[in-house]
Amino acid sequence: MSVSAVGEQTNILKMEGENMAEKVLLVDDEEDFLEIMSERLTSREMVVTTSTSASQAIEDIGKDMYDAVILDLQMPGMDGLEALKQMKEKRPELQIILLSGHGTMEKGVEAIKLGAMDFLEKPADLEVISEKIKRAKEKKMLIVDEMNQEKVVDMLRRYGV
Amino acid sequence: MVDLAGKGGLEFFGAVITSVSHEIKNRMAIVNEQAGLLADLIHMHGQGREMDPERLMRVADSVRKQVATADGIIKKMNRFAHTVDTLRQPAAVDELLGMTADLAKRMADMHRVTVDVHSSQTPVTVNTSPFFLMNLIWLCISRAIQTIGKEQTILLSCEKTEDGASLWLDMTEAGDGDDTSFPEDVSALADLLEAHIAFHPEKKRLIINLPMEIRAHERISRR
Repeated sequence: MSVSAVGEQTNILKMEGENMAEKVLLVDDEEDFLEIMSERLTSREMVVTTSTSASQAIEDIGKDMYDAVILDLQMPGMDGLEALKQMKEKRPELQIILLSGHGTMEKGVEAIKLGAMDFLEKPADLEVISEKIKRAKEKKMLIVDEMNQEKVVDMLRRYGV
Repeated sequence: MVDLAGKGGLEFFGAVITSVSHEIKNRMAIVNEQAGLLADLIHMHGQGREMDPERLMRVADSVRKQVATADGIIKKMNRFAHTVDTLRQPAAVDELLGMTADLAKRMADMHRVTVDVHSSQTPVTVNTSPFFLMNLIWLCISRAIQTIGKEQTILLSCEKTEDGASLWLDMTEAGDGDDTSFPEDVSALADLLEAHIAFHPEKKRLIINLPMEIRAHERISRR
C-alpha cells in the first residue's frame, strides 16, 4: 500500500466514524433495565448491543467496535471494576461509562483511576447518558485518529520517506 | 440497642441495609427508564407517530412488576429492622432462615452461588433473639459462600428437636481441603445464643443446635 493510500484509508475511516450512529454496548444483569435502555437509545438513532454479564461483554468488545460501553458496577461473577480493567487492557481506546446503585463516590474514584470515562449513579437521566455517549464517540475518534497517525508516521519511516 | 449489638451486630445491620438499598436503587432505575420511555412515546406521538395501546399496557404492567418487587424488598427490610425490637421473643426459625437467605441473595449472586431453603414440615419455634440468630445464620452463609466454588448451592434447613431446634447448612460441593473453620464472631454469637455449633466434614454440613429458650436479657446486657 502506498503512503497516499494509507492516508486516504485513514480519512475514509474518519469520515465513516463521523457519519455513523453511535455504537453502544450496554452491560447490566437486570434484563428489564437493558430492554428499556436499549429501546430508548435506539430511538435516539444509536446502535445498541446488550449483555447481561461482564464476561460476555469482554467477549463482545473483542468481536465488534463500540464507541461507548455503559457498564453496571455490581454484577454477578465479575464486578464492574474488574470488567473495566480487562476491557481497557483489551481495547485501550474504549470509552467506558460506569453506572452504579452505590450511594458512595469511593468506587467512582477507583473507576476513574482505572480509566473509566465517567461514573453515574442510578437512576441516571438518559439525556445525560446520551450526551456522554456522544462525547465518548468524539473522544474515541480522537484516540483512533492519533493511533492512525502513528501508524502513518511509522509507515513513512519504514518506507524511508 | 447499638451498645448492646456491638460492632459485629452493626456491621451485619450495615451489610443488609447496603444490599437492600442497592436492590431498591436498581428497581428505581428501571421505573425511571419506564417513565422516560412513556415520555419518549408521547413525544413521538406528538410528531405524528401512532400510539400503540398494547405497548403502553406492557409498560404499565412492567411498572407494576417493579413496584411489587420493590414493595417485597421494603417489607423484608422492615421485618428485618423489627428484629431488634425485642431481645428475646418466640421466633419461627424456618421463617428467619428464609428471611436471611433472601437478604443474602445478592451477596450469593455476586459469587454465583445459590442459597436454597428447605421448608420444615412442622413449625420450628424457639425463644431467642431473632436479630442475633439472623446475624449468626448470615455469617455462616457468608463463610460458606467463601468456601464453596462458583455455581454451587448452599442448602439451609431446620427441624424441631427435644431441646429446641436444629439448623443445618449443607455445602454440597465444598472440597475436602477447603478451610471450613468459622471466624471468632460466629463462636461469640453461638455463645450468646447458647447454641452449639459443629461442622461435620464428611457430610459437609454445619449444624447449629438452638436451645428452646435463651437468657438473652442477662447475657446481651453484659456484652
